[in-house]
Amino acid sequence: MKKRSCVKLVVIIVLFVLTILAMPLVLMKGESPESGEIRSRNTITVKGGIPDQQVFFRDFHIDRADDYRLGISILPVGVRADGVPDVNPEDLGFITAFLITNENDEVVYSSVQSAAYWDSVVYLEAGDYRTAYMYFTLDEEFQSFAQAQLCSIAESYRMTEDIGFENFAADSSTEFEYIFSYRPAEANSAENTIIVVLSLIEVMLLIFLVREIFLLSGGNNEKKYDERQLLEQGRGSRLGFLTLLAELTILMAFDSTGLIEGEMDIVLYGCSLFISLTVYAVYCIWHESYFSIGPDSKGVVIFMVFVFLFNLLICIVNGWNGLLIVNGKPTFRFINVFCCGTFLAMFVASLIRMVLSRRPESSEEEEDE
Amino acid sequence: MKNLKLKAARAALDMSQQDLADKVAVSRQTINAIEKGDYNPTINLCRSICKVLGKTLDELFWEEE
Repeated sequence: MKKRSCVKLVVIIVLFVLTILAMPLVLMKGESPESGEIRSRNTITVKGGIPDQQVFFRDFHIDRADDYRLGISILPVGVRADGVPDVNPEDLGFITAFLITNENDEVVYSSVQSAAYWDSVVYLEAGDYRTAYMYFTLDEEFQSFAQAQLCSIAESYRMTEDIGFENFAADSSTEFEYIFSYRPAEANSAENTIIVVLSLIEVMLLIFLVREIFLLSGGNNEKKYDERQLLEQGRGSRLGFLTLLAELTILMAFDSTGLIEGEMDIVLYGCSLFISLTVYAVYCIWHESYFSIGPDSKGVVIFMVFVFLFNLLICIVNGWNGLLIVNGKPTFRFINVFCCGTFLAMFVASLIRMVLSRRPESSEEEEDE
Repeated sequence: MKNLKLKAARAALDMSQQDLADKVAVSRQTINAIEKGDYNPTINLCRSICKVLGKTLDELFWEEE
């Protein structure tokens, strides 16, 4: 038995190492011919209400008409993407209009920002394009620009209200880093999907690895459930499945309305998965069919606590670095929160059940009379 | 429906639920569920219990009218 467990452990380690190695290969596969990135650092100085550099532009070429995911970053040097809300436009002294124009000088994409980090999917025909950054400190200048339909009118009105052009343009000097990237939208989503799937496989293999090491070091290696426990597990599975079905139906309804954006779909579908797992596990624990007959279940409960604490640590680190919620929306890293919740619920249910089961057998039997 | 005959047979041998459960290789909660009438065991489990308690199927599991 120990030999079989060792073989299992070796297989899991090999698979884990392979998935770890596969990750950089996916990331390093290199830019597709249709991808590109333009980076630049510029110092913008505002004197007497006028920024010194009016226009900054770069050219790029698209060979194939397609949907392209544009990554746009207009950030003061030293400010991270998640620190954008902390940047005060009044401190900068100017706002930036970002444009993409085609070879006929027609605007295909525009946005007006103070400091920002965002991406958009835009359909681009084959041809030459120019990205341009323009800076404004005066309301009149900015409104002329907006009225020439070089940027969104609704966006421009909002910016003038938010910033308050009358008191704007304090003398300042700010070094900005501009990043503009473009890549086919499909390639990006395929790469993201592969990375997410590989990450999930790595996490599952890690859990199996820890479990096998625990079992090899003397943990309970025999699982035996009696017929009543198997029956209750079946009922728990059905309950978990129906819960998942209901959740997916609701999510599909929301998804079809377009209300779910960006990484929210991963977060919501991951949440529904963990909720149904929790329902199954807590039901089985409560009906005393989760743990096998025989040696006590303390080892499994300790394992639950370990997984809970491990995920809690990841959540704390991600939360501290501002990676859990970005731009007011949860990222895929929020799945660790759901994992914490699941194992915490299992641990609490196990604890309560253990306490209730510890009361003397005679008192339980007296209840029947 | 409660199985008082099973409980009585077990008590006559001065056996706890855990003792009986260990002998028939089920959990104590399963024995408790059978005695409380919350669970109907399979024929194999019934036979195992009868063997341990030295009783017949009729004596332990036949419903009295």
